Amino acid sequence: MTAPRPITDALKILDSMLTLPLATYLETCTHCGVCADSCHLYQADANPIHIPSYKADFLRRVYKRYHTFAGRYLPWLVDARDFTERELESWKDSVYQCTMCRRCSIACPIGIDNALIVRTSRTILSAMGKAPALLEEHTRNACEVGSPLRVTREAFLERIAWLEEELQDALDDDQIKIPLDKVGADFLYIAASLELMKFPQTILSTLKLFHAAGIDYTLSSVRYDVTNYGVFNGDDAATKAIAEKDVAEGERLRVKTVVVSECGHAYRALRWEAPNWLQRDLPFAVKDVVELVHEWSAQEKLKLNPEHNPDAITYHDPCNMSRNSGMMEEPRTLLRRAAADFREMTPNREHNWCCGGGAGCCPCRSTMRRAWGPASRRRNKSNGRRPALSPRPAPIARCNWAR
Amino acid sequence: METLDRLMSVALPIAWVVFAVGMTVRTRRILALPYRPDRAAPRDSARYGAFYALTFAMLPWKKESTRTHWATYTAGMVMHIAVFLAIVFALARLAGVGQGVAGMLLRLVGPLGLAAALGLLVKRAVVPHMRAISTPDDFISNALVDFYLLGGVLTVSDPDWAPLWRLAVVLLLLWVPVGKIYHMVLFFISRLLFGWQFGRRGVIRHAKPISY
Repeated sequence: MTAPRPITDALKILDSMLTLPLATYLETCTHCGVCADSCHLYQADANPIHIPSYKADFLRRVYKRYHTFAGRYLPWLVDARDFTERELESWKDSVYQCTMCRRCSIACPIGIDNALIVRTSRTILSAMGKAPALLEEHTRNACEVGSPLRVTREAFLERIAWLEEELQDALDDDQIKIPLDKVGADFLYIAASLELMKFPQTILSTLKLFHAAGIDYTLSSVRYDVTNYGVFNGDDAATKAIAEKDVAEGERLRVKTVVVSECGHAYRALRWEAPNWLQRDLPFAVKDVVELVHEWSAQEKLKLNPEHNPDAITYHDPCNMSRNSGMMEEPRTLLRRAAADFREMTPNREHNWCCGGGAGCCPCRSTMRRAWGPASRRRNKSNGRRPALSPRPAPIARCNWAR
Repeated sequence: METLDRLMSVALPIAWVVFAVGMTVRTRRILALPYRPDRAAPRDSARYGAFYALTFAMLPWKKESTRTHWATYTAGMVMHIAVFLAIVFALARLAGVGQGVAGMLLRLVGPLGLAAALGLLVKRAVVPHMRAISTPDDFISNALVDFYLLGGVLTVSDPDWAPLWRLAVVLLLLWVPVGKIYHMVLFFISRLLFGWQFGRRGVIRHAKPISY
C-alpha cells in the first residue's frame, strides 16, 4: 500500500517496534531445531525456509547487527547482517509462507513466539512496499470498499435479501426479517468475505441459531465484512483503520456484543488485538459464534439433540480459536451435546496440526500451499476416516484440496 | 601447565569482571525496552499461565518436542546437569567444602554430559536442517561447553588439569555475555512472557469449568 522507501526507514520501523518480548524472543533462540518438526510447512516439503527459527533468523540477523555487542563488533560470529535492500528481498518467500499458527511456540523449549517475529517482519516488508501483491490488493479493497473481495454495499444487500428468503423458507415463516442497522440491539453480527462470497450457508446457519435462541440482533449495512487483511500483509495502519471501523460501527449501533462467525483472524483481530492497536477498551464484548452457541446451549436457549447426528465425527481445532484464543473446550462440549459419537483427533487442542490456510496463505495461489493440506491431514490422526468438523472454512477448503 | 596456571590466575579475575559487566549491560538493555500490557479482556489467568510455563509445562511428558526428540531431550538434560554439577564442584573447590560429594557426582555425570554435548555438536554439524539453521555462535558455544566439561571431568580425576579447566572457564566467561549461552538468563524471561500471554488467552488452561 505504500511506495518503496529507503532501507534506513526499515531500521527505524524495527526500532519503533522493539519491545521486551520481541527482543527476548530474538535473543533467546538456541537453534535447537525442535521447531522444525512442529511446523506443518517444513513437514510438507523439508525446505529450510519453512523452519520457524530459520524464518525468524531473517529479522534476528538484522536485529543483532544493530542492537547487540557481538552483532556490532563480531558480526560474522553471530551471523549478524547489514540491513540492505537485498537482505530485505530475501525475507519475502519465507516470511509470507507462514500461517503464524504458533504451533512452534507450544513446542519450543524456550517458548519463543515466532508468530510475533514473523508479524514484525511482515510489518517491515509491507511498509517497504514488499508485501505480496494479492495481499496488498485485498488490504486496499478492505480500506477503500470495506471488503477484501470487493463486496459492495449493494451486493451485500442483495445477498441479505436472498438469505432472508432462504431463512423464511427454512423456518417456514414469511414474517421473518433480517434486521439491518438496528440501534440498541444486543448483538451485531458481522460476517466475513468468505461467508459472503463462497459460504453463504454459514451466514444462514448463524441466523437460524440466532432465531432459535430468540436473541435481539442486527446486521450492519455499513460494516458487513469483518475480515482484516491488514493482519495478513502486516500493514499496521490498515489493520488499525479496519478495526477502527468495526469498533465505530459497534459504538454507533450501541450493541453489547459483536459476533464474528467465520474468520478466525477477524475474531482474533477484533477480540485480542484491536484494544491494543486502538489503545482503548472496547465498549462491547467480542464473541465467536461458537462461544455464543455454547453459552445458549448451557442456558438451554438452544436444545441440542445428539440423535440427529448419530455418525462418528471428529473435530479440527482452528489455530486462531485454539492456540491464539484458548477456545478449545466450548466446541467440544457442544459436539458432545450435539453428536452421538464424538471422537478426538490425535493430537488435539493446542497441539492440533495447522491446516495451512491461515495468515493470508489460503488466498495466495501457490502449489506449495496446496501441498500443506495433505501434510496436515496425515498428521492429524482422526482414528479412521470420519467426517472432521471445523468451524472455519479455511481448514475445510485446505482439507478438501487434500482429498 | 605451570605457565598456563600463572596466566590463568591473571586472566580469571579479568574474565569475571568482563562477564559481570557484559551480563549486566546486556540484561539492563533488554529489560529497559518497553513492555506494552495487553488491553484485551483476559480469558483466563496470566499468572497461572506463567507459573505453568515455568514448571509443569517443562515436564517431559507435557511436550510433543520431548516425545518426538527423546534422544536430543535426554542429551540436553544430561549436558545441562553436568554443567551445573561442574559449577557446583568448582564452587566447592573454592570454598573448600563438600568437594567429595560434588566430585563424586561430577565423576558420574560429567563424562555422560561431555558425551551428550559432543553428540549435540555432531548432530548440529551433520543433520541437514540443523546445519541450515546453525551459525558460528552455535558451534562456538557448544564447543566451549564441551571444553569446559572436559576440563571439569579431567580435573575431578586429577587436579593437575585444573589450569586447563580454568582456561575453559575464562573463555566461557568471555563468551557468555555476547553469545547464545546468554539464554541462561533470557530462558526464564521468555518462558514467563510465553506463559503470561498464553495463560491470559486461555491456551494454558487454569483448571476451572467454563461458566456464564
